Amino acid sequence: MSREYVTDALNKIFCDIFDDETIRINDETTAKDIEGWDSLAQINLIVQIEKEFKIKFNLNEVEALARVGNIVDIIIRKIN
Amino acid sequence: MNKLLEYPFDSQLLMKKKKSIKRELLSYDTYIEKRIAVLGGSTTSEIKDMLELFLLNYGIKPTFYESEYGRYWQEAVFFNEALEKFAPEVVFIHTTNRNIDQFPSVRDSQEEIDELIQKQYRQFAVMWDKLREKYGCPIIQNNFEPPLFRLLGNKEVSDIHGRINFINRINDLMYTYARTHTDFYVNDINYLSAVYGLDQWADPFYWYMYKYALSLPAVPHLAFNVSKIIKSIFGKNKKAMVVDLDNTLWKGVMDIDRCGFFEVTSFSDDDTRRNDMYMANAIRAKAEDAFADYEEYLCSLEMSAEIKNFDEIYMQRISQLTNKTNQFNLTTRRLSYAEICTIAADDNYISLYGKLTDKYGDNGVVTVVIGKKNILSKTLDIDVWLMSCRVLKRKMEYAMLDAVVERAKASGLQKIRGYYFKTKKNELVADFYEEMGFSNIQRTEDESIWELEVADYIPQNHIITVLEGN
Repeated sequence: MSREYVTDALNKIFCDIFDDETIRINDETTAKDIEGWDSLAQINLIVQIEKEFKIKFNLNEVEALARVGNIVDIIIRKIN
Repeated sequence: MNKLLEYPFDSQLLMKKKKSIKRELLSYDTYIEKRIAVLGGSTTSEIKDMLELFLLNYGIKPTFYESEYGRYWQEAVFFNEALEKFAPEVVFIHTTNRNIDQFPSVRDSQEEIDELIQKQYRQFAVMWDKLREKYGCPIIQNNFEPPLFRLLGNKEVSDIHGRINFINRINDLMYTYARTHTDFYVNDINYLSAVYGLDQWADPFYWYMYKYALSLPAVPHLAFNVSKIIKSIFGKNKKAMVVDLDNTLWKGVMDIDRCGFFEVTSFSDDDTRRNDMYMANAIRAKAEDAFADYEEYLCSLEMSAEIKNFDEIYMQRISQLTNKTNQFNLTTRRLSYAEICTIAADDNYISLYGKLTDKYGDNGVVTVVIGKKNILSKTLDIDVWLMSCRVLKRKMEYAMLDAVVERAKASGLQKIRGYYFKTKKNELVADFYEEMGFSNIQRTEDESIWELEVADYIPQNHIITVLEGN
């Protein structure tokens, strides 16, 4: 799976969770850039990503998931 | 009715789409409105969100009161202005086996275990009685689910030292309470977790991440079950029965047994109840209100704190706290690990961490204060004061202030100056410095500045035993 593909799929998850079709994420996007991305939304995000990509995060990785670029890195590492 | 919310639902899809589903449901407007208090022994945020969807789907529009994290018991038992103002029409107590604070040990005698069961049960019974007396509304209470691990194997269920045996016995007392009190409903998570699969239900990942006592994908199942009880309490059942019957015809018996059940909440037989009632009264007569006042309760926690200068081994945790803490955070200054190390090494700062231990265990580092010395004005400026929500209302802040004042005095400072910078999330501490005895010297809408003369200060902590040092 390419980086673009993963980012696209991730973008769809973001749009659903934050109920905003206009969201466009990139590697640099962090919680500050998206209204409502707090620790409570974060866990929902984790659940959805795990389901979409059929992966499981461990506790050490979760810390890094506050930036989109890191999320994409970890997903790619896990599925390849 | 929203199709996505009908059983069997896709729980992950529900969680993903919850905002748009809510938007859609709110666009219909034939609702009855109900005030629901959710008192949690673990995180309840997602539970509340999901419950809202299922209730909206049943034509009930809820407004919620959510207890502070883990404080179901204190909020129910002690004076609680916010909850009284809210005037709940239903109280849902979301507790799980994580809230049982003591299990039997293998060496305990039968009598000791009986005693322990009574003690655990009484804590809950006292709370239910208080809620009934104060709010007089229906109570929905989770029973306890089995623990994930079986230390004694199959003996867990039959041996009196087994946790499953222990939990079943407490549950049984809860059921007696339910039979002998009106408007008390058991939310059977013991069953739900079994149907869902205990391994998945109890996935500890969610506990360690965000202190959810059940896995997130299981939350809709829990919420659905609670919504059924609420629906039946408010007599919305008739309408739904037609739908359920339809399900019966088309989806077969399994669905009825599993979820298309008709929730019966008003079923009682006074004659058979009376005997049980005498027994419960006898038990309750023994259940003196264990803690009449809050300070007494705090003392019973046998708290001790370690308040010391920043230490190498805690730097990571301290930095993490400055970055994660939102509610009890006066200035919301975020500091990196490197910045924390720099501050720790700088004599111009008084930088303290606080660790809190109570009889249930070690909470770790839970609070941080960083003050900058201003030698010219003989003032200590408090740059950072934060505390983890886990230990709110334990009076730990007083122990911290005592330590700060003592060190300020030792450095020849005369005043301590506190700052409150308002954010979306730190309303909780808007009046913090006032409560601590500071005087206001400046106030605008978004910030306020406070001062305390160290010479007049009298130590305020008398509940927590403090181990100080460098």
